[in-house]
Amino acid sequence: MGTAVGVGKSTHRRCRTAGSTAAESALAGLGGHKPGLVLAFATAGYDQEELLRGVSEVTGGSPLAGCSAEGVITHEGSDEGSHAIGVMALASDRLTFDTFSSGDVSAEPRSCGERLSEQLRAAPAGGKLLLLFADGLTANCTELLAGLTERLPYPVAIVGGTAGDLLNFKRTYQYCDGRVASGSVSAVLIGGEARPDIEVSHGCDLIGLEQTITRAERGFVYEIEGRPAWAFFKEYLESDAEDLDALTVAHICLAELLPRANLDYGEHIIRVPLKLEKETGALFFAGGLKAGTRVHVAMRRPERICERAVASARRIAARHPGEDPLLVLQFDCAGRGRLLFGERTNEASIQPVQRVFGNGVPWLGLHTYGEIAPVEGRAYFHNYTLALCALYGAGGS
Amino acid sequence: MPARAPPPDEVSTLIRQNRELNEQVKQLVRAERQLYLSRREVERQLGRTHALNRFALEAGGASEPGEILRALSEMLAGLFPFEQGLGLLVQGGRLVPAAVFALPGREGKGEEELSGRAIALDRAFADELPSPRVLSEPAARKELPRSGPLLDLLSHFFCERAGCPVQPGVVLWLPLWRKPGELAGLLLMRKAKEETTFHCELPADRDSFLEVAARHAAAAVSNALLLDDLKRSYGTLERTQAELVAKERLAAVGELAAVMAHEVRNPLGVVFNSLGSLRKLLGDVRDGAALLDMMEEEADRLDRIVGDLLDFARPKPPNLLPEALEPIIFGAIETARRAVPNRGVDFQVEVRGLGAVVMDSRMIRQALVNLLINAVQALPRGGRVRVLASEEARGGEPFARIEVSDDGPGIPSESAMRLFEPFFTTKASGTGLGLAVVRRFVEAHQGEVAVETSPERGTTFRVLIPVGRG
Repeated sequence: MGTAVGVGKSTHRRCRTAGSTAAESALAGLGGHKPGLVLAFATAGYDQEELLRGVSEVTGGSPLAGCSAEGVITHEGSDEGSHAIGVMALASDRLTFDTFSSGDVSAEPRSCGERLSEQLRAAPAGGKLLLLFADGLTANCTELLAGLTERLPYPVAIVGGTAGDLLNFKRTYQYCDGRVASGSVSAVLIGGEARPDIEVSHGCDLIGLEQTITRAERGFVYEIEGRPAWAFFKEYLESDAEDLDALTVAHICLAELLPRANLDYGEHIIRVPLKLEKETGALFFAGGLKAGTRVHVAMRRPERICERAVASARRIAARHPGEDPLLVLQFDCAGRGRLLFGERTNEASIQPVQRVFGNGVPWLGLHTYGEIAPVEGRAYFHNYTLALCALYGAGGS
Repeated sequence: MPARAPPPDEVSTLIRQNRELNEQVKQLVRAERQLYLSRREVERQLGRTHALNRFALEAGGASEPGEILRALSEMLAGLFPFEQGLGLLVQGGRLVPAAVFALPGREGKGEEELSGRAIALDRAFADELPSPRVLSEPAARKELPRSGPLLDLLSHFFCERAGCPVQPGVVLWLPLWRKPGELAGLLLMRKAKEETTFHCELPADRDSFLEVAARHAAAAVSNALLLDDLKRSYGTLERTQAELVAKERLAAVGELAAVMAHEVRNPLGVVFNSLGSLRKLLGDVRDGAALLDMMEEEADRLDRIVGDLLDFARPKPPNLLPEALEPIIFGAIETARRAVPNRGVDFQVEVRGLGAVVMDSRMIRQALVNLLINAVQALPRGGRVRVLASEEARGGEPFARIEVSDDGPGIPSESAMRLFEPFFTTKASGTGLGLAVVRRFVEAHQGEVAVETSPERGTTFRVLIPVGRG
């Protein structure tokens, strides 16, 4: 049979109906085969438990992974409405699928990563791609990745994103084998004849002088250049800004120097604050900045975001001439969607990337609170990026 | 050779300049943020303006107020996180549901439930709501104390559904003021939960955009109602004009008929008198008597034609008295039998539970005679003519229903449409006034006459006149 992939989407307001409708559409692409894996991304307007019940009603006991999202991306475009779910179903006799999960990523991100690593070791060998969906508000993903990659049993490409909640910054959800959890990581290992190809790009420019993080702990940055982190940020905002809202998050960020620069990606990795601890003025970065790290303030550039996103898609396609991927997964920062491009999001940043691969390639994506993708062979947690993962079969499909 | 260190003054100048540059960068970032926020606001306002323009175009072309309210609901659901809408129109001092709207998965009871749910328009409630309000349902009950019946109506439409738990939501109260003090309608838009998303926020209370949209909608609703009134007025005017023309024609025909009756009936009187005298003079001369019979018959026919013309053109007001219908029917049958030679026609009469009817018996008898003659003439090879009289209620009032049916070949549709027109006839010797007289007499009783005809089932004329007991 090879590999069959189907994608479905629903915006129905009734949770269970939305889940089952999207799953039915996805299963329609499998030619009657039972899915070996079901991926689901849904916006947080839904009761997530009820939503997954709807999906499972249709997909039965097939392994299910995914997370809540700020928006859902399919060939219909990006949908950041309160009620949207995208489902991808895969059936294959050439690929293998194993799902894992690990809790408590908020308090113990490194241990959480280590536990995932142990689960990988226990899984059948031959994994090629590890998909990660982590809590978007509480996880220090740099620590998570450190724990995960320190003792990996074999090299595996890691890509993924962190869950969103419609920019309300209250609670995100991860789908761990059909269960809904928060403060967790959901993971999928794809093996067999899979050839993943991943690119990641941002479109930010550095501004001003280099600064030093002078105090940081457990993902919280307390001081930059000896000043409270929030006071430092406010110098770039209105002086009366009281809270870290989505518009602020989308406006400025920090850029940390990469140990090994990449010509296409650039020399810096982007870090965005997600939470403000008002009592101390500390800012939480899911990228986990440490004291002593030298950073620049950075700003996004819409034109550059679009150019680099298309360029990264073209680089993938160029590496596989005459070959269509089995599927494409898109992990796109929530700050690069409607927040930046408004009503022009699809025409500006989504469709140009999709056109590189054509409309026939199954496509599912989400707007994340952070992205996970490798640069120079090492998995990093990013912000403000597009992580694009095209999965090719053995010798083409 | 190692590079020479810059002098201390130069270093401090460079550091100072660097700091100044950094401050300028911060200012630029702040300015860019303002620009971004302004652009975002401009885009938001542009989006609203486009939506409003599209709505104005759609509403301007709509002829039904319900269509306008639905279009308004759709526009608002596209801009704000509302999921359900109920549009009400002010009609006769009541708020009448005219349109429902719901996103997929938020459907209520639907259009078919709209009728019969009107509620009285409380003037005090209208005064409580001079501008759009966005209130949670509990807050609405406090701040708009008279909103209870409308919230109950919303619940009726959108919450009482199996498997759909009732959750207090947020409601936009959008009054459609035609002008101050004159409410055209009310739109209620509802969102099931109070949570909203970053990209789709609830409108502000008393949002000016909503006021503009409401004014557009109120104007469009008023225009649609005016257009409807205008159409109805045109219809009435057309009917009145047609009646006026008909009356004028009738008056002219009446004058002519009067003159003709005078000019024809006077000589006819002389002819009848002369015929009487000739009969006496000629005695039993057989051939002469036959010629006299022929002359008398033709003179009778002339007299009937003049009589029909007068009946049609100068009808007298009916002399209404309560009378039994049955003897009138039998009398009419006897007259019809005599008027048309017997061709093997069988008459059947059935009168069901009908008491006295207030009528002008001469007119009704003449109408029945005309219908029966037509029926017999439709049966050249014989057949059956059936007269059925019964009582039926119309609008709560009792009516006498008289059906005259024949089992003949029916009337071609092109003729059937013109049957009641004066002077229209398909017969070689007819005046074309018989059925016109029937309609005139029936309408003089505030009744109506209709015909059903088909080749398979023959022809049935149905006369309805008020029983008029009260």
